[in-house]
Parts: sequence; structure tokens; C-alpha cells
Amino acid sequence: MNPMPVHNYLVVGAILFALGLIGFLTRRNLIVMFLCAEMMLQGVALNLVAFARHRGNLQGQAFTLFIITVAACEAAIALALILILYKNSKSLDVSLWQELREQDQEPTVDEEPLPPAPPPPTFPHLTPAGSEPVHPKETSDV
Amino acid sequence: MGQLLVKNWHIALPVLAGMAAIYLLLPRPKPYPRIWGAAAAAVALLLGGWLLVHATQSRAETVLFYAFSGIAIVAGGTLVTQRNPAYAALSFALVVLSTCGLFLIQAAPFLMAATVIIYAGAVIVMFLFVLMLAQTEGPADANDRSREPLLATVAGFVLLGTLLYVLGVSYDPASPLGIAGDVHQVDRLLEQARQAVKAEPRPQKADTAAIVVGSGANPGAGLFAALEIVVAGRQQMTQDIVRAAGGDGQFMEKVAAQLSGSREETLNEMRAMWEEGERSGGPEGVALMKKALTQLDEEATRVRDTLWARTGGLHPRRGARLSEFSGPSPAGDGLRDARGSAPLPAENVASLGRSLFTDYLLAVELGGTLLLVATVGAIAIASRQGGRTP
Repeated sequence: MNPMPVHNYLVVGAILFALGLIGFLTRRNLIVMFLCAEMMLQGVALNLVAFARHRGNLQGQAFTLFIITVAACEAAIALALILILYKNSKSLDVSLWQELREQDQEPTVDEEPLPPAPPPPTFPHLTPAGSEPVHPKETSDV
Repeated sequence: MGQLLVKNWHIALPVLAGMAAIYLLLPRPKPYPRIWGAAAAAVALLLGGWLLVHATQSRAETVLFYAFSGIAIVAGGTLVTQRNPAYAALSFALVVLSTCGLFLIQAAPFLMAATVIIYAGAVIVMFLFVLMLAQTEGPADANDRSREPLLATVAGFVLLGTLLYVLGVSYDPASPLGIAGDVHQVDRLLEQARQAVKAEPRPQKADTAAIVVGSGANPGAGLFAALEIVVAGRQQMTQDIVRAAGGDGQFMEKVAAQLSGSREETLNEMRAMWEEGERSGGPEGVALMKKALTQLDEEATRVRDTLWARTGGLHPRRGARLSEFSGPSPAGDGLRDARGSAPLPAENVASLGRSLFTDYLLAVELGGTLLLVATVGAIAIASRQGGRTP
């Protein structure tokens, strides 16, 4: 009988944190950046709960509860900010706001062109309904 | 540097594979073939899973842990690398749900429910935002480009490798790097000796402990050997502490005196009890032997906990409580499972509530205030008119 050691949960928390960090640094969509920050919080919460289990008291769980509270506040503020940024620039691209950089920083320029948009889907044309098609008059009585 | 990487190849390999996977899969105008990234991700997952495998038997906790953590990590990777923000929001929901499963395994049912409710609401709101704002036709700058993908990936995975190394040194029972390995060895000896105690009709029937130390006839010797390992380790550690203290040794000498006044006499008492029981034989003798082994077990567990608490560096002292108001006392030092974890109270919600309203009362008030301010602030920001255009 060898129960799951606390180390394994800490490793999973660390992996979630690192993935969220990469996403926050490198993605350009504001909503995806926000989701990555939330994933980092999940990693930390997992860490705290693992320690609560390891030490046999509830301090880690209480901390996690506060993390959830602060995450809710953060979600409200962040979504309001995203909304107003979108209103101003009509896009979720965070690089549109790079004029906020420091004065001695070079602006980042996207050199590689985006791939062309896929052609719009073509739909088959059906005959309009409601009009009777022409058909030859029946001549035989048989 | 290279030597360190080679020495810790079991950490370096999955980290490098994961770095390659994330780098290859990140959105860019001319993407690499997805099959390369998927193959690298599969290699990273397999290597990382192999790094984590310690449990020898297939138990419910093991299976659930690997299932939930595998889903969480794969969904986390998709969240980072997915072009379509709607799919990213779905992956985030999957991450949250599997994290909730891990919470449940760790005896935190209230947190599981709270996270599901709150994050489910948050994810639905996120979906509304995606539907409102992110419906673009064709490729867009926001979704199909990454800022500095190589630098960001390297930074993230260097952080991850460092974290894994530190966790392995201080917490991994199977790692050869740290003290955790020694304590784990003692744990295994103790476990086998406990089975020897339970054996009927006489403790000698189960000689697994004897096999461990290779001494043959006497199963109790395994436990004695375990305790001697612990005591020897403690004396070694005392010397280390005194040496490391350097100049200002007065306090450290006090600590060392406390540590080295170890329990050899208690150990000898128990050994005498065991030998007497062995001599007299019969049911009384067996009972005496078992009593000696049980006392020895308690003593060894206590000494082992001291060792564990002093050496891990990241381990706080057991039994240290935040306050007198609430929370179970770390639940009786005798009541520990094989990995040394104390049991949590069964009434999770009640204990958590008691803890929140005694220890963390001020923090709860502040949290409520924070929520109110955030609501007001969100409304104020979102309803602002006008502004500038980049």
C-alpha cells in the first residue's frame, strides 16, 4: 500500500502554472491571456490543497477559498477592461496597445503576412419553389 | 550546466519534449505540421508520467489521479496553443473540471463544489464574451500570431524544470537527490515491520522485516535496524547542523544537545522487553513481543517525523498550529497513514466554516469588501463612454 505522495500533486500544479505562464506571455488575444492567468491560479490552488491534505489541517483550503474570491473580482475587472479596450480598438489584439511601451523600446512589427482567408463556402442553387415546371402534355389515353 | 542536465535527465527529458511541443504548436502565420507537435506532446506526457509513477499497485486513487492530471495537462496545452478562442474557453472548462476532480481526491469536497459553481459561471460569461467580441472572419492578428514564441516557451519551461528539480529534492520519496529518499526507506521498513506485528500466531511468522535487513531469524530486528538508521541519521544531522552553523554556534549547540539526547535507553528497554518475551514464549510472551514492537513503532515514527521536519527545508514543523481557535489539531501524531499525512476531518464544510469565522474573520471581511469594490469598479469601467482610438 503506497498512497499517492504529495510530490505528484505539486508537480501537476507546477505544470499547470508553467503552461499558464507561457500562454500569458505569448498569446495575443486578450480573452485567451485572461484564461491563461486563471489557469495559473488553478495550479496554485492545487498546490495549496495538496499541502492541506499533507499536513492534515485546513489552512490550505481556506487560502484556496480566498484565491477563488479574488479570482472572481479579477474576472469582473478584467472583463470590463477587455470590453472597453475592444470598444476602442475594435479588436482583441493586445499588440494594438503597444504605444504604451517605454520610449526606448522598438515597436514590434508583424513581418510575416497572415495566410489568406479561406474562400467563402459555395452553396448549390435550387430551383425556386412555388412555380410549376413546364412539362409535355400527355397525349396517350392508355 | 550540461552535467546537471545529464544527472537530472529524468526531469530534463520531459521538460525539453514539452518545450518542443508547445513551441511547435503555438499559432503562427505559417504553422509547423501539427503532427510534429502532437508527437512531441505525447513523448512529453509519457516521460512525465513515468517520472511520476511511484505507486506499485493499481488503486482507485492512482487511476483517478493519473486520469484527472492527464486531462488537466492536455487541456492546459490545448488552451495555450488553440487558435480559436471558443475552443480555448472549452479547454479551460476541462482544466477546471479535472482540477476539481483532484480536489475531491484530496478530501476537499467543498472547494470542489465552489470551484465548479464559480468557474462554471465564469466560463459561461467568457463564452458570451467570445461570442460577442471574437467572431472574426478568417485569420486575425489576435488569434494567429504569437509574441516571441521561442523566448516565452524557453522561459516557461526553464521555470518548470527548476520547479521540478526543487520539488524532487525536497518532496519526492523516490528521488535519490534528497533526504526524502532516506525517510522513505525508513517508511518502508516501518511498514514491513508493522506487518510483522500483525502476524499470527507469533510475530516470527512474517519475516519480511528480517529479509529487509538480511539478519535472518529475528523479525523484530528489522524494526530495530530501522530505528537505528533513524537515530544514526539524526546524529549525523546534528553534526551537520553544528558544522553549518559556523561562528554563532551557541543556539545551534543548544539545538544539537536537544537532538542528540536521543532515546537509546528507551530503545534498550524495548529490546529487553522483546528478548524477554522471546525467552518466555507462550501467549504472554507473544503479547510482550508485540507490545515492544508497537512501542518501538511509535518511537520510530516520532523520531522519523523529527528527522523529516528538520531536514526537508520546505517542511514546516508538524503540530505547529496557526491558532488556538479553530481547525483540528493536526490530528494526533499516532494517526498517520503510510506517507505520513495526518487525516483531515470528515466534516469538511463545518470545519472550514469554523476556521473561516475564527482564524480568518478579518480576511473574510476584507474579501467581501474586495468583491463589493470590484463590482462597483467593473460597472464604472464598463459603462465609460468615448475614449481614444489607437
